Amino acid sequence: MLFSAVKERQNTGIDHARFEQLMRSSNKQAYSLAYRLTGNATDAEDLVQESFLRAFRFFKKYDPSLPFSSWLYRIVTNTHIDLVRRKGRLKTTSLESNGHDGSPTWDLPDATAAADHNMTQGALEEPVQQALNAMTVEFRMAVLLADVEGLAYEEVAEIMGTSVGTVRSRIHRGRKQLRAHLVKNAPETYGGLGDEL
Amino acid sequence: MNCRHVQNNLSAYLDQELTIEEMADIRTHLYDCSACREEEAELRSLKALLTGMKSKTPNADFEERLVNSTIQKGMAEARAWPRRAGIFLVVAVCSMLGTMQLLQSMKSRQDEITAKTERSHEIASAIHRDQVFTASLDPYNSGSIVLPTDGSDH
Ligand SMILES: [Zn+2]
Repeated sequence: MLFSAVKERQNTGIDHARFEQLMRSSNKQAYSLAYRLTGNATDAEDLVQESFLRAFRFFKKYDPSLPFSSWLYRIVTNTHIDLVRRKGRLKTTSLESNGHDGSPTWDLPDATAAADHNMTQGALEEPVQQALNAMTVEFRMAVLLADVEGLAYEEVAEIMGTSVGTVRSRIHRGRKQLRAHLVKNAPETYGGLGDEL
Repeated sequence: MNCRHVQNNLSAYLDQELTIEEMADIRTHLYDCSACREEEAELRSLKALLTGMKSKTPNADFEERLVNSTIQKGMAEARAWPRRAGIFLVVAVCSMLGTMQLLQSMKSRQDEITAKTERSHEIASAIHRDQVFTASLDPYNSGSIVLPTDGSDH
């Protein structure tokens, strides 16, 4: 392994083997969150790579008594906001403005996303991801962490560095943004599903 | 408990993030209020939609690429750090010395100016003394000296 080879030459004061192990065990989870945050595979890979690089830099500050995934999620969410700001396309556009100016605020669906969803998910996978992409970034994060990752409000608050009250409000407003977007942009599929459930 | 309050708390209710009392109050309200019940059903189906989202899997080679690039970049940064710190130190010391020298030269120039100013003050007071002396000798002068103004009066 490249890692262990380099390890012999350079001592950075980091337990490299431990870091590599954590990277291998958590990268898929991080990628999935990153994909839902960014909306496409390329940006998701970039986000995960940048996040792990930051994790490597600050690994000495990681408290091993806490779950690595929480620490990593915190880095991913902060990195996401940084990367989006750097690219100058923070998706905070309100739902109402989407479509009117002719410039969608989300990325076009990539080929893999279209290929790998199954039939039952297929009908709504794409509209939901597009609705997520169109959300205010803080709302999107809160909703993803709570609903897709299944975390409690307190954990979400810890990761986002905010209060439980703020998380509660972000999740509620986020879900309402999502619903408004789906009702407007995918009325047939979303309406149909709503009736089924 | 009114509809507005209930609807604002429906997400937290669905997530079971309220106290037992709050949960019970909302449940009671939902039993009686069809509008809020409808809202709750909609939010519930939306949550189900999100919870049921499949996790996205990266390309098969992603893990290897990730591990290699993170370690390479991380190590390169770690190696570059002492060198960068060295360069920074040299630059800092140089600029400090430069600043000190500049301050020194400014100070000596200031001393020169101060000396010149002091000297012109001496000359001025010598002239003043002379004028006072001369005036005291002048019988048509009451003894007061009209010192030259800066010209702003003219
Ligand atoms: Zn009601």
